[in-house]
Amino acid sequence: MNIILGYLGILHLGHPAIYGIGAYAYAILSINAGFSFFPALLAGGFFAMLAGLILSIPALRLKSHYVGMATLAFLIIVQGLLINMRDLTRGALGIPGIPKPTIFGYYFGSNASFLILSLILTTIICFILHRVMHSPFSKIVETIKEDETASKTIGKNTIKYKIQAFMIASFFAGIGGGLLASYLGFINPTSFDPKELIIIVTMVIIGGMASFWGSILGAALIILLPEPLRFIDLPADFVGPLRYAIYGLILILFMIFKPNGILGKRTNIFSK
Amino acid sequence: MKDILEIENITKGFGGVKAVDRCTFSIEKNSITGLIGPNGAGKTTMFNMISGLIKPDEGNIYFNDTNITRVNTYKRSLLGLGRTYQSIRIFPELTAIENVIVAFQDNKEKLWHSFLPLRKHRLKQEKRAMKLLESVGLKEKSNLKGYELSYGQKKLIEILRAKANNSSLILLDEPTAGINPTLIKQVTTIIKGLQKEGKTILIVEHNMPFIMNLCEKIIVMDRGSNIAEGLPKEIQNNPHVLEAYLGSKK
Repeated sequence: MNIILGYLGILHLGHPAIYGIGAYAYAILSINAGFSFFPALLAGGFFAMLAGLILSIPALRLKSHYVGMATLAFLIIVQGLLINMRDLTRGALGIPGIPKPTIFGYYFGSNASFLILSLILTTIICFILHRVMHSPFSKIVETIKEDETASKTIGKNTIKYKIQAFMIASFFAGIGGGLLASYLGFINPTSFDPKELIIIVTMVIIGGMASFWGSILGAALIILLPEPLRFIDLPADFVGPLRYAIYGLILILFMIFKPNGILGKRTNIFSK
Repeated sequence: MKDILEIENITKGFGGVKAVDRCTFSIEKNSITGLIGPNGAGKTTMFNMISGLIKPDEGNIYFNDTNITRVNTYKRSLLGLGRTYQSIRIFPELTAIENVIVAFQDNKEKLWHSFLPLRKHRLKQEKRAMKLLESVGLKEKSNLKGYELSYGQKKLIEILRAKANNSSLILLDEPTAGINPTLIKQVTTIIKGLQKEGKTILIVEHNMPFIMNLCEKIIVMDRGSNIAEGLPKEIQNNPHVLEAYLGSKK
């Protein structure tokens, strides 16, 4: 998400759909087709990347808020498909019994072992993304965010770069979706609804857009921040909405007082 | 000498207004040519059509004998067509040196290049860019962000960017607007230097002393058409030009 929002400066609201596709691909392939962990995870990434490609070709020709509208529409369409393609996705019932990973005969069934596996995978992914985000490729992507016309005038095929950035972001979102599916063991369409978007956008914005460490910091803060709520004796049906209200409040406060986030660069996604 | 750019009967309308109307001219290789005219004459529209940002309704543009009328902006740039803008367009969040480096055409900037060891390559590109910055006295400013530079420095960076881009024809849109006389002298020297390196320059400008002193040929546009072209001296006394700028005698 940070690649697209921070580096490309594009208001991409279809992100939950992309990692939802990764999660469903993982779930369906590992249950129905008997894929083992890594092939299923990579396939999830692949399908998410494909979805990213399909979405990016029309969406990246739009500008500013219109990209937001188009990608939000994509999110709603994917939600609709997940609910209605019952033969494949079991619709609103969701897919239960998604297997936990087994690698070289070792079963990652416990939370602790899964945590270690996730940490290893996240480290590898972060390493890859760190390389990409500090490469000449990402500089060109940055020039597109800053001034696409000027970038074209110095010979950069801006559409190609944007699509590629979109595809990488989608690939890793798909991998993330797959991991989530294998951790939860159950997914349904509401796991990937627009509410999730608030959390991701908040993570990227408070961490700081176009900052590699910013996203990690943002993610950590956003996950940990509402944890104290557990210790306050509140009715369960109140805690859920309260979490979202807190995210919303944090987002608003950051937008007013520190729009670049904690570690971010100057950016304005609505200026283009 | 051979022409590098030929404009053939170019017409462009915006709604009912014809910004450029059957305009025809050509630019000689390795020359410095001025394109002048009153405000609204269609000069910047012409620049935008040459660089491909807008497409003409009619007519053809030839660059080195290749018809580029329907070619994308970025491909034109790769063919050797560079430009600067009237309202400066450097990348504000990139540093001065990065602004120059991104314009090099041999950067290892493909996605898969991200996984190669690029240290040596990066140092080489930085050295090259630093040399360019040094040539215009901006070495000390290399690590300042684009938005931290002064107006004049931004203008210089934009010209350098066109140079770093290895353009054989550089379109300069009002390179002296809003900068002080000392800097105007420096811009003049840079432009002459670019010519010595074999580049061709086409300048849109309102600063007459600058244009008359620098250009070998001047093309005058008025209401979308070119009304005169020739040596600076001829242009200064051309009745059509005087009329376009000052109005006709009653």
